[in-house]
Amino acid sequence: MPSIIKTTAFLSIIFILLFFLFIFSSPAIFTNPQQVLRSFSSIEVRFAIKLSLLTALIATIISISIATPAAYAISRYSFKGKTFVEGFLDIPMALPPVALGVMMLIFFARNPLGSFINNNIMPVIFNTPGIVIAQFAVVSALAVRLLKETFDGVPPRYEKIARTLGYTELEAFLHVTFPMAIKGFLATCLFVFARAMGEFGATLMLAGATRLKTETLPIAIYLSLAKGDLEGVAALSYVLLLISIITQIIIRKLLFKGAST
Amino acid sequence: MIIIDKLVVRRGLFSLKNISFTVGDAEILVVMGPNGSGKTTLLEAIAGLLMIDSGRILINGEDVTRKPPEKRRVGYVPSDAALFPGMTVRKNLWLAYRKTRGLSTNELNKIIKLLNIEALLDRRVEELSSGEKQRVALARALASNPSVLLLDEPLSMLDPPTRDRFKKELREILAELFQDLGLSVIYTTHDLAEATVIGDKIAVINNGFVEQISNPRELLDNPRSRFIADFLGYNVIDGVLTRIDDKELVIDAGEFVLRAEKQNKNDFNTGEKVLIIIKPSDIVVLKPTNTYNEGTFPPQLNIINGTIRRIFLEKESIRLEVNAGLSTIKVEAPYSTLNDFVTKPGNHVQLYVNPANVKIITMHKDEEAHHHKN
Repeated sequence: MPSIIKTTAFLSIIFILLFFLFIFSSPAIFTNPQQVLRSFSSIEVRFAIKLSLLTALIATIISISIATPAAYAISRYSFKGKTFVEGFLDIPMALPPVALGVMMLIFFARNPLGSFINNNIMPVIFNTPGIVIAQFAVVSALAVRLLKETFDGVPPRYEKIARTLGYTELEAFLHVTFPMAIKGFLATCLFVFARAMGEFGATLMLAGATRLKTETLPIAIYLSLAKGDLEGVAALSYVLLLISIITQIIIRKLLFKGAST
Repeated sequence: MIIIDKLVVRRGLFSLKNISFTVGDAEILVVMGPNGSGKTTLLEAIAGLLMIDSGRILINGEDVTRKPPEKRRVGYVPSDAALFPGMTVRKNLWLAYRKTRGLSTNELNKIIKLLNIEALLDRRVEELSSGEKQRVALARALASNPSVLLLDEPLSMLDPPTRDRFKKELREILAELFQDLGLSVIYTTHDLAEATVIGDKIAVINNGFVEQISNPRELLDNPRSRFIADFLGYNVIDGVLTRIDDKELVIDAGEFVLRAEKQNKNDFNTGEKVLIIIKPSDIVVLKPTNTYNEGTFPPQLNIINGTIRRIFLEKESIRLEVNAGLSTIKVEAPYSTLNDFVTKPGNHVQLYVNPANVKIITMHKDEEAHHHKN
């Protein structure tokens, strides 16, 4: 007699797979591979792809640069209020991006510091920097969390050994810890990048949805849907799907190809 | 040469208390103690990997107490080797060598040859056996040209046959190293047999406190506290000093009376409580036929009457546990004892111990050794 647990488990897997297969395949009603390829030549789609790649890249670089030392500190040192910091960083991840976006909009519009930045340093509201800030707000906490887990995976004793071999704290990090964490680090970068590419709610609130100005790929889908262009929506969905498939393949290669090491 | 001077390290509830010792060039100090006695904490403090509360550490005359680990020239081999994972042996050695470059490539090659790891250089560390890992870890520590080498229970992860072989190899390897490099070695273990093979000096550590430092012979012959005697597996019996003669002390242990040869530095008082320490192998099991009438020793004194509780057979000896009143006496007798007479649990036996082999510690000395702990 087959085990109930095994049967249930496999049926659940099949259900989830089918669910997503149906969903991923349904936009095909409105489009075909030629049309998806053709959409790449449209000015609007090209703009959206370029803007998405550029803003997501900048947001990823900024958040990883800040998250790496922060995550290392949380992973390696014990300090007063560490539990609070960790808990606090989970809040932006649990908060709906739309709410995060609205709060940022109010900050840059009404807060003296925020409006000073918006008016004198760089225009954030309904502008391109707003996209980067919205993406940063959504992915930075995630980056800290993922990098902390990566550094947790490298036992601190290797750094200690490196210290006895003549390496300073920074050198030990660069020559020993970081090379050991490189796969997790790259996977985090890609994951954060993919998440930034797909950011919609916060971007819509802070940067708005202006055609050929703050039009990222998700915003482009939203605009196409608003004007009833179902073919465009379908093609754009597949562009995003393609990007996430590529990212997933790379992440999996990074994480599992050399998993034994 | 390394000098540890009144080192105190507090870590939560545990602390290292007032530890002082010196290890000369080409000398091996074995720090021996049970798990949790502070051996690893001591090594990490010396390596600079944890904060010390007070005391000083001098390496080759230089005070390194406040120096970071990278400025101390202390090579550290933890018990699990801690080779950098995902790398080859060569990369591990290179990482150690490139930073200091204190050795010539010739010297480095010599170390590789000495530790017999030439064939392993291009292997990934995950593919190595425990014994190979230890050898590579030792080579890695040496590649950074340290003046002090810390080996934390290097044999503890090895299976017994490998351990026995590597124990002897290690002594030879260190001897060989000493010819070229003036290293001081601090080596920890919880194994007495390992300590006596490896160590020039042995420090016995218990609960963060060094109870005795001496050469192996002195440690085995004259353990200076109840803890050490227990750790060595010796008999430790409470008694009262009843008489002091020119040459002898007489101690009443309740069920039996023992004479002990007087040692030069004894300062005892009659009526004082003492600890009697006797090695199991110094106790003779008397044949029932010639029970104390051969004239070699007077009757009654240094004879212990008892009942065999348990018998353990070993390769070359037998171990007996004999109940004598409230005490249980541990005896190690030649295997041939089995042929001499029937030895089985419940049998009555007479034991004899030569007065020269009865060691006495006064209770206040034992307490003194423990007093520093708190």
